[in-house]
Amino acid sequence: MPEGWRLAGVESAISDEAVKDEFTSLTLTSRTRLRLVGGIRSRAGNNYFHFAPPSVSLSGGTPNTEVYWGGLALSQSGDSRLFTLTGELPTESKISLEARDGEAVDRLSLFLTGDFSVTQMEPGFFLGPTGTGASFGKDEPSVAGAYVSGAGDGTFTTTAEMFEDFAYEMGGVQGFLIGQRPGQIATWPREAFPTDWIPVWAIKKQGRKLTAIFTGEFLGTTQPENPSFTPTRGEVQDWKKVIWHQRKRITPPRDQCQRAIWLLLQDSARNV
Amino acid sequence: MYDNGDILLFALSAWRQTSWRQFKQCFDELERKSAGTADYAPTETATSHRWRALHELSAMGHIDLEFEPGNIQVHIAPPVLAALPGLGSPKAVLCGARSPNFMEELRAESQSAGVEALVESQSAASPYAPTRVELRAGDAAWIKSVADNVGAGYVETTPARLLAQVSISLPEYRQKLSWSSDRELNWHCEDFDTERLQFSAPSETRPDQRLSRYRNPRTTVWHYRLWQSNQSAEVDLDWGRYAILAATGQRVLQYAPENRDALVPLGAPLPTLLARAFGLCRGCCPTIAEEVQSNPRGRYLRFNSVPPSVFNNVAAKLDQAIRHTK
Repeated sequence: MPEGWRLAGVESAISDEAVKDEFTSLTLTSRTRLRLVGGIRSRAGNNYFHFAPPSVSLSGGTPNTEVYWGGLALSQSGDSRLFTLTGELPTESKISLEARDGEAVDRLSLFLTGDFSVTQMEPGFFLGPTGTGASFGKDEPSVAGAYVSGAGDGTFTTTAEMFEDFAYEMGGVQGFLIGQRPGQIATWPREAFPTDWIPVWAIKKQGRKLTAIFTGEFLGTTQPENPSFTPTRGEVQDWKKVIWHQRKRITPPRDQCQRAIWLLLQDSARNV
Repeated sequence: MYDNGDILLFALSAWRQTSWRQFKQCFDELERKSAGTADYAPTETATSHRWRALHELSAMGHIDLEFEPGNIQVHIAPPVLAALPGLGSPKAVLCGARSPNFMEELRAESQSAGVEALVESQSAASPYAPTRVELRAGDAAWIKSVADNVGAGYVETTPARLLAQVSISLPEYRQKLSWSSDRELNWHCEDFDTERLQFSAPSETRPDQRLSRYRNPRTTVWHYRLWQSNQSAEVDLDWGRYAILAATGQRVLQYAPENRDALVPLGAPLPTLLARAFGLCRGCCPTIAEEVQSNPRGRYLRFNSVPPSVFNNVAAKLDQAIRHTK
């Protein structure tokens, strides 16, 4: 800082009595003025989103000056001369504000933009495989948010990937994989993930406790079911043993719909 | 009433395409509101906060960023219920555009369709992360029905897996670079330190392989060049960092298998699609992991519920072998 200079900060000017005669440019305006502060503009001018309205600032005037909207005095925030727009504010119509000190001394109006449609929206921009909008070929995959186009059909690149994730989901515990038809059972992880039938349920075994879990994401990732699947007698007995004979040890799914499906399966196993 | 993250996403949704200037004004207004003072002035860290907010929104599949010369455009993505990976009931998370009414309709439709809607504020994870909405149903068709009724899309094939698959790999990225033997620019320059994961003044003996950045004295915009012996190529910063990390054999990604957390150093953010692949494993905002054991590189960003195959695919794309944390 140059020698002899001093640095000072001023929060706000409350009076110009000491300077107004000598420095006319520092004279405070005697006019009472309303101004919008903050808020998020929906477009140019005094247009704001209804979910982020501005506050109203009052300068000039006397301590008795108040701000009104539709006949109601707005509440002042703290000691400042900031007023908050509260209550059910109308959207898409003019909101007229008035500063009053006995009579109206300033007016201001604003608009609040109402809700807007986000449905049936088409992507306006696509990212290429590098993750940038830089030019990419028609045949290359493209991404807009969570939309991915031009990718393969499957979620898993290899079955090894699927096994790895499934093993993680099972949390390293033993259990059974169960299909809809009698005999569709595999002991996890001793037996391989089935390739000729679709495991719909995973039965997790923790101590004596068993839990039935819908296979969810893994359901549609196996090969189509082999229609000529023929189980052995032992497989049918094992399937019934787990689903029906151990039914009291199995905690059904939490989801009501899945629970109903699980109970139907239990019931069908009873008559096998 | 609304979290700052919700207000920000509502505004971006209404504008659809937002310039950097407009985004900055909106962001700064929210910062001012949070600071609770009318004469709030952005601090020096405001820029990094703005970028963090944009990266988080991108990783959660809400927005896409377009880099133009001298400007950045923020594009809102269409509203989509994106399937989440894993066992159990079909689950999907809301990504992309939203409005206050849309959120109400989604809740109402879910309720009438018997679909469980989990709505959780993420303001504790990040001040600019919008509310997370996850739908769970006994059948995926029910989620689709809700999506149809509110006019949103439904992506049943887990986007997290697809994104990890469709992203280009580091070797493919390197092949796309245009190498030149031009002399080094005489602009202010800094080199990327692969140990500390930050740019700093060049050392006296500069390595043959390095990532350097140069500040345009007129526009003050940084330009990034990857050097290999006497040749260099202009690179995207995110890819450039992983290119030099791979070239120097640095492995920075970590995986905590017991709770399936993927850890990414703050100093080496992932390229866009790969960050989104992690982000859409749960559809929640990544959090800052203050303490990671055996972590020599400062703070990490923690992505939750990342299946091993997604982590492996992302790590393989970046030539990063898995490092398990304890």
